[in-house]
Order: sequence, then C-alpha cells, then structure tokens
Amino acid sequence: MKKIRRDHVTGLALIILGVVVAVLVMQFKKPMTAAYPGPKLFPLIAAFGFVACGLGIFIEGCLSKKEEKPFLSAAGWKKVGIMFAVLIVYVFLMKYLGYMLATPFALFAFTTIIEKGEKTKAGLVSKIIYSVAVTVFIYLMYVTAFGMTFPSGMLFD
Amino acid sequence: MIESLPFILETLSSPYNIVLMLAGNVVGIIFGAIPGLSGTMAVMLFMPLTYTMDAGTAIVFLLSLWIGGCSGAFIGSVLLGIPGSASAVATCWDGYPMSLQGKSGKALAIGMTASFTGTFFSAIFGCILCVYVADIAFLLSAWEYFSLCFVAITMVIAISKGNMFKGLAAASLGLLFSSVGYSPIDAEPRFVFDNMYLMGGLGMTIVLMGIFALSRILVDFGQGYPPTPEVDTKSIHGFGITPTEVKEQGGNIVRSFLIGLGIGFLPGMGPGLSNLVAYSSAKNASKDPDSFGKGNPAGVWAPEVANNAAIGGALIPMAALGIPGDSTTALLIGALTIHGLEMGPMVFQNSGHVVYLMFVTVAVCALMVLAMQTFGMRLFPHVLKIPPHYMYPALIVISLMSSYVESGNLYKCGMMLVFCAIGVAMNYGGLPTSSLILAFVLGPILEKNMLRGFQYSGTWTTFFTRPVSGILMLLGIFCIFSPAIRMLLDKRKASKQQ
Repeated sequence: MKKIRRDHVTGLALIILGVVVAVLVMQFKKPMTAAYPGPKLFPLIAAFGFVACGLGIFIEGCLSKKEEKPFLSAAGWKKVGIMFAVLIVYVFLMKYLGYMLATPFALFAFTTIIEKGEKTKAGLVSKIIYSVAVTVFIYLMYVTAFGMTFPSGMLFD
Repeated sequence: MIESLPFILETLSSPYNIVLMLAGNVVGIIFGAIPGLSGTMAVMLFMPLTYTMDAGTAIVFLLSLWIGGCSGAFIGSVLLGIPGSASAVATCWDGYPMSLQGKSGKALAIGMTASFTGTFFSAIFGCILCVYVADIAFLLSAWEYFSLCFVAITMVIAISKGNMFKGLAAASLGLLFSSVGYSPIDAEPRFVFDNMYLMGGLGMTIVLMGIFALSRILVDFGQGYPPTPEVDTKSIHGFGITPTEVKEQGGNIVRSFLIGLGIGFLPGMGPGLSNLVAYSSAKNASKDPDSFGKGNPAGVWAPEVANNAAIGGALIPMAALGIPGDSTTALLIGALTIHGLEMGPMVFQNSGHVVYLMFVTVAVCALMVLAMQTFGMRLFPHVLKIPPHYMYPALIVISLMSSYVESGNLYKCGMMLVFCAIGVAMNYGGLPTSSLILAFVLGPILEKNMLRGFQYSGTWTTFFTRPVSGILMLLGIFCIFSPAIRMLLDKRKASKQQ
C-alpha cells in the first residue's frame, strides 16, 4: 500500500475546508448577481481556491516520487504538544491569577521544557531569577513605560 | 518637504524618540542577527506597544526596529553561515567562507557599510520618487486599485518556494481570514457565529503573531534548536575595510543598489528576492566568477546593498499607493491605520509630513545602526550565543501579551493559540506564510475596490477592458501560472539536453 504523504493530508484538509466555507457562504442573506456580487464573492473565491489547490496538492502528492522528509519526529510532536498544553494552561492561569502571578510559573515551565534537549543547563536558581526578572521587565515595559493594561486576574478583581 | 521640516526635526530631536530609536535599533539588530528571528518579527511583536504613542513616535519606533533587523541580518550569515533572515541568504555564500579564512572582521565591516549604503541612499531616492508615484496614483480608480492589489498577491505566489498550489492556498487562507467580520459596503456579518469578539474582524496581531511568530517558535522547538555556536572573534579588529576597497566595488554597489530599489518597489517583492538577484548579477558581471562562493568580498557587498536598498523601494508603493512592498510594510500599513493614517495617493494632501518623516527616520536610523555596529562589532558573537531556553520563553510571553494589549481581553490570547495551531499546520503542509500575510492585509482593500468597481460599472468585464487594469490583471494571471510555466520549460530543457 502506498504511504500517506503530507501533501495528501494537506490536500484533503484544504478540500474539506473549501466545502465548509462554501456551505457557510451560501447562508449569507445578500444575493449574489452578475451586476453586483456582494459579500459572497470574496469568501467564495477563497473556498474555490481551497478546493482547487487542495486537489492540485493532493494530485501532486500522488505523482511525486521524491522521498519525503518527516516534518517532525514522534518526540518532536510530543514536545510541540507539551509546549502547546503549557500555553493553554498559562492563558487560563492568567484569567484567574493575572499576569504577575501566572507569568513567572509559565516562564519557569517554558525554560525547563526547552532546556531539556540542550547541552547547557540552567540551574534552578538561575531559572527562578530569570522567570521573575523577565516578568517584571515585561510588566515595566508595557504597563509602566507605555501605559498598557495587563490582566489582573478574576480572583483579584 | 520644506514645510514638513519643523515637524520632522521636532519629532526626531525629542529625547524620548531618540531613546526609542536607539532601543529599536538594538532590538532590531538582535532580532535580525539571530537565525529564526527577523526584523519583521520584531516589528510584529512590538507593534502593540505603539498603540498608546502618537503617530510620529510610533513611526520612529517601528522603523528603527525594521532598519535594525534588516541591517543585522548579515551577522548570522557571516559568523555562522546561517542567514538571520531570508534577506541575507546570499550573504552566507561568501561571507561565511571569509570568516573561515580568518576575515570575519572584514566581512562584518563590508556588511555594515553595504547595509548603510543601501538603506541611506534608498531613503533619499524613495523620498524624491514617492511624490511622483503618488501623482500617477491619482489617475487610478477602483478597477486599477483592485488589479494592483491582485498583482501584489500573485507576485508573492509566483516567487513562493514550493509550488503555486501551496502559494495560492496560503493566499486563499489570508483572504478568508480577512473576510471575518462585517463585509465592506454591505455590512453583512460573515463567519462571526454570533460571537461579539469576531464582529470587528480578526485582529492583525492575533493572526500574524499566532501564525508567523508563535508557531515558528513551536515548530523550531519540535525540530530541535541548533546548538549554541562557537564563533571566532580573534580576527575582528579595526574597521576592516579601506576607502580604496569601497571604491573598487563602486560598479557592484551601484548595480546592486538599483536592483534592490527596483525589486523593493515592485508590490509584493522585497529584500528576500533582491539579495539573490544582486548576488547572481554581481557574479555574472565579475571577471572572476569562479571566486564567488569561496570568500569573494563582492559576494557580500552585492546582497547587502540590495536587500537594504529594498527598504526605500518598498516604502514608495506603501506610502504612495497604500500597497505594501513586502511583509513588513504590510504590517506598517496596518499599524499606521490604527493611528488614523491611511496610506495612498491622498496621504500627501492629508499627512505628507508623516511620509517625509518615514524617509528621514530611515536615513537617520541607517546612520545610527552604522555607528552602533562599528562600535559593537566585537559584541555580535555574544548576541548569537543567547541560549534558546532564555530567549524563546521571553518571546512567547511578549507574543501573548501583545495580543492581549491589542484587544484588552484574554479571549484573543486564546484565539492566538488557535492561529498558532493553524501556523503549525501550515508549516506541516509547506504553505508559505508570506502569501498569507499579504493576502490578509490586502484583502479588505482588494474587496472594497472590487465591489466599488462593480457598483460603478455593473459588470466584471471593466476590470479587463480598462487598459491599465487589464494589463495588471493579465500580469496577475500570468504570475499565478508562472511557476507551472517555469516547471514545464525546465522539463523541456532537461529533455532536450538528454
């Protein structure tokens, strides 16, 4: 059996996306006429682009004889998944605890995850100092220097 | 220009703006030098900081980040053999061999001088040419504007790596994202799903930061960051080049400058292409083409002058037509819109002083960056030694907080994570982000002018029957199919050779 290539997956995903977009566009109220296409035409062009390009990419994937390099190894996907999960947790933590409390923990977690694959390791104390210092620096830069607001946390509102 | 001088002098002499300019240049150089980051990413990350600034200060800060980033890109190319960004790919080919031969000081000095020459003089030329281009732009109406935006997007597809299907798919994705929210002219809600956060459309920071910055950090992490490099610093002493050596490269410098300025001016093109074209033309014009790739200084001069000359070139269509020359000018147009400045032919009537400020800022930044790089030459290797576990966590937090300050709610941070996942998927499928950025930024202009064109004439044929619009449309269609045509020609050539 022929191996599934990245182009096959990409092509199919684009075709499905195109069909979904086209169905959603059909629900717009304003009619599309030859004299004035209205708000439907532009997203329909995108939908057509997805289907046509999806088909093209899929067919190219079938015809290509080149050996495909893996995009990420299983371990690489795991690393990306872990990092993404930490990002989601960080956003949730910010919602409840606010920037100042959530960020040092997030920075500590990111530093620990990233340094795992590296030769040079940062010590525990360095990581704590780094996490607190960067949190304060970013806060001072955005909030104190430029007058922006950062999330204060639902628990402290 | 003369009547704008008091405003320009006042803006550029303000101590606050000088500090911002210095900081922007330093941050830009660091982002430009480190492979994987770029001046474009610096502009994207720090753009939300400018929301509370006045327009003049915002321009000064954003441009200083961009100029620093463009000028710093050669550092990684020369010292590591890894380009800091796409604009310095060709610099690697002779810059790194020079470093291996113990001439890294000379290669760095050439990079600095060439960057300065390209940036400074392109700002002067851009400032002069911009007014004339704006005058011509007055003759353009909705049909021509639509065609021009169409060409800008298709040109990026034509030069996008991989194939035309992937470039087009990425552009379609950009158009879809730009369709979210109320439609122009008819005000019909599209893809909002009764969600109030989507009514106003997807914010530029959220989409671009998620797809361009955060996903890149994640993918690089998954693929494994390269080990912290060892860099030779022993051969860095003195300025490295003499005036005679500069004089010897006169022809190469002028040719590369014109290539950079011209390519930068073309909508959708930019430093990424100009450095490659300038390098190959320098090689073709050389009496000793075999020495290229083995540490020929001309191979560093050409790409560095060209990629920096593209800055002034890209600013011309941005200011005079409201059409970005590359990804960074696309971001700048978005940032300036937030400050109430609409680029385009009317800009000289409404806010001409701002346009002149842009060009003067670019020239001043070029001087500042040259001074910083001259005195900080020995510090460059240390910039490249920042460990990823310290650099990337800070960038992740800055990305998230940038999306927060744009909207003032964490919902948009969550949406940014969705776009980060889309960015990872795009990387997986090999879809180019540059096509998406341009289509996303140009989408609203494209649609507004398309609908206006239909309102005025009631038929699509006008887009082809008006001479300028027709030529541009045909050029755009040719650009879409050019990768396929190129492939067919290559195949025919190969079969003939067999």
